Amino acid sequence: MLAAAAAVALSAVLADVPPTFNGDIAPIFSSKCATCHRTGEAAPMPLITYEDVRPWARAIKARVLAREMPPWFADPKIGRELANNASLTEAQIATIAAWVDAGAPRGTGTLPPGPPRPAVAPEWHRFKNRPPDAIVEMPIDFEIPAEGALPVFTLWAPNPFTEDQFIEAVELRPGIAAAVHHSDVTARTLPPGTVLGRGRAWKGGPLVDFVPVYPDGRSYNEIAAGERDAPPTVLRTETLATTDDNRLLFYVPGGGYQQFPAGAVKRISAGNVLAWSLHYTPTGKPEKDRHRLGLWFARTPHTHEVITKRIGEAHIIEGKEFAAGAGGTGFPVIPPYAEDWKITAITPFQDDVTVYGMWPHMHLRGKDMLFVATYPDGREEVLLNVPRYDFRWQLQYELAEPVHLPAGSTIKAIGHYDNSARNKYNPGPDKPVYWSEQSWDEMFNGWMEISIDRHVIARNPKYTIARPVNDRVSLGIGSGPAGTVYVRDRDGRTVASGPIGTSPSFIEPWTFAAGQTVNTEATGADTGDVTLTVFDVPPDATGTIAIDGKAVAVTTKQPGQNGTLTFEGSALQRVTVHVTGNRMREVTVNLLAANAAGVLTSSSSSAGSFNLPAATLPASGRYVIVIDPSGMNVGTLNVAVTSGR
Amino acid sequence: MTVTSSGYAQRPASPIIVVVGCALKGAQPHIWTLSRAGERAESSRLAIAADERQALATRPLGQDTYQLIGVAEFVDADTSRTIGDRRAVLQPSRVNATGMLAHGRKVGVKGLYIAATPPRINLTSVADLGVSCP
Repeated sequence: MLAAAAAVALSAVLADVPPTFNGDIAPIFSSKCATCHRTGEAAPMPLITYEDVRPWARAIKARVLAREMPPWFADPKIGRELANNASLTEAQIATIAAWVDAGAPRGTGTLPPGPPRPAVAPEWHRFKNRPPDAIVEMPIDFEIPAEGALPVFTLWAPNPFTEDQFIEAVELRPGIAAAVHHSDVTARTLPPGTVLGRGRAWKGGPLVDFVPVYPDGRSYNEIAAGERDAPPTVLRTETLATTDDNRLLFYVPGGGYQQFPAGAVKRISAGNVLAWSLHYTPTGKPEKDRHRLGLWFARTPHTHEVITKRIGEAHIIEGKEFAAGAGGTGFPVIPPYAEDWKITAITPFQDDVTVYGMWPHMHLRGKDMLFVATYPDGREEVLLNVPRYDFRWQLQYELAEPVHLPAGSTIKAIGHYDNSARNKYNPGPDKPVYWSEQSWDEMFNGWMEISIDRHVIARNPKYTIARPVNDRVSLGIGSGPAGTVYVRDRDGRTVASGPIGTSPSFIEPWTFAAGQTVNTEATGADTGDVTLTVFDVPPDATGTIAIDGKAVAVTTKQPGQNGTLTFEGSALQRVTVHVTGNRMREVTVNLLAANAAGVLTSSSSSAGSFNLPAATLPASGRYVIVIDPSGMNVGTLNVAVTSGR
Repeated sequence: MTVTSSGYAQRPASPIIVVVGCALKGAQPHIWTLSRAGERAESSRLAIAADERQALATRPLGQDTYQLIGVAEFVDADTSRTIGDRRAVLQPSRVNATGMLAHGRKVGVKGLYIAATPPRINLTSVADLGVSCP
């Protein structure tokens, strides 16, 4: 009885003891605040020592009670557990409030020492207790003006790696953190037809090095997306492969570091460049920034490549289905004063995938975003709910445990915009809102990081070709380590093959049969990547042409597709075939004898205009002109046939 | 040697299909039935475009039956909020549903085909074809 009474009394005394900085507050700040609130990071003041914290005590209490700090916007009640949850628990908030109310006492004793600062790369994370294996710098110092609004833009830099690199952890560190709203680095190919050079950083922006430049001198960065060339279509619309597939990391204050579960990696392909996408916010004085990227190479077996994918192969906008263009272009405007403007994006999964994380990206009118999975059995699950989206904090939400979505699942991003005057960040509630990367316009990006379960990183994989719409297929082979690509029938017979080497190659069309496979076989010890693209080849473009008649345009749309033109000729008639307006680049044009009994004359050229050597027709009858674009070339040219000469 | 994932022509485990049938509300709000469904075809697009809708309207009904899932974006707003946790996370003014999936109507649907008994379709698009099922 005496012992019980003593225990009750002790408990009461403990409850009356106010929290102290040294005893209670410092551990909370160390784990939840110090990532940003330390010298050199984005926060305006450090919160490490008692002297750092004490002047801000009342402001800190107000901000944590309002759940404004630490910035964290995921719904704690509905959704999956998140690995990088930066929010304070109710108990932690109560402790901070009680400490402030008690006069913010320092407490007795000294702070326990933190972990020792490593001698090498002390500012970087310590993944598996080691500094980054490689640190890659942005190619130039970018000069940030003192004032003004800068658009998002991209600097493109050569890839320093000559072989593919698989990354199990990555960190992105700005040079001037206070001047960076957000940024990211993507490993990707240069836009077709460009080389790295000097050009505008954005339309009307400064001249800088390291932007893709077209032969006519224009910078890719200053051309609107809709004006750029579209790539040729491939056999199957591969919804899980976009230009963002190899995004390495997204930086926001407090973020900028990611590590992947065992077996999962990001890839930097040797053939890619590094695209540094930058959104600066001037600080009031001129600054020079140079980001750095820390990479930890995979040292353990890795099987799956993590890719970044935007949700949105189908859209519903304000209660109606909408077919959006690439990048969201074509969305209707958000009307003035709309408070709950609704948009839903849907991505179907045709194969099994694993989801590692998600994050919303909208701009100043963004209000909320919900990520919902529908499983093949019909169950629906909220994976992530961000009910109070805040453009100032572009947070990435990493799942504590990856989520497996079987084939037949969908994932939906459901978002809303507030273009009313009630949105305190809205720069113009009376204006319609358009869609672009600039913050005064809007974007709707429900990002996710996934791997495709059956795409296993492995040697000499074999793929079965999907049934095409047409009867013929062709194969584009990218450059890679020496090897051979084989197309085989179901019984193993080789149908076609092509070399893998330092230059791309191409396998001309063959007749598709169910069960045909494609596989690669290395011929040396070198390892690396090769990208194969199977094309669904429609029938050759055909037409007729008259001697001394009008020129006829011939267009091929898929690699491997030829054009043929026929004409009637007379014995001993002398003819010349003329080619003009050639946009196929390298092309071979043959004039075949009647019944395809041989080539009468031929020419290969990439010139805009050229003639075949004149030929004498051996007999009266039908003749065929065959237009055969080289390799993967497609396009249009004009053909005319004249007599005489 | 490894091979990148982009651009490959592989047979998907769950293809996108398009089919016409009669929409029937089920006992559970998140699972509907497509009865008297006609012939299904694979599709390369997820949405039903206006011209495609016209063509679907002329397609005959058939004898097949599918379960329709992922319906929350295509039913009416009230029904949508009864599915999953939506009532807790979406106020009525924030429901973004088309209402195209209505009981007894002839509809064209697109979605992921799921081999099961009966087979299922996880919806990506629903178009009302303008008539009730006879």
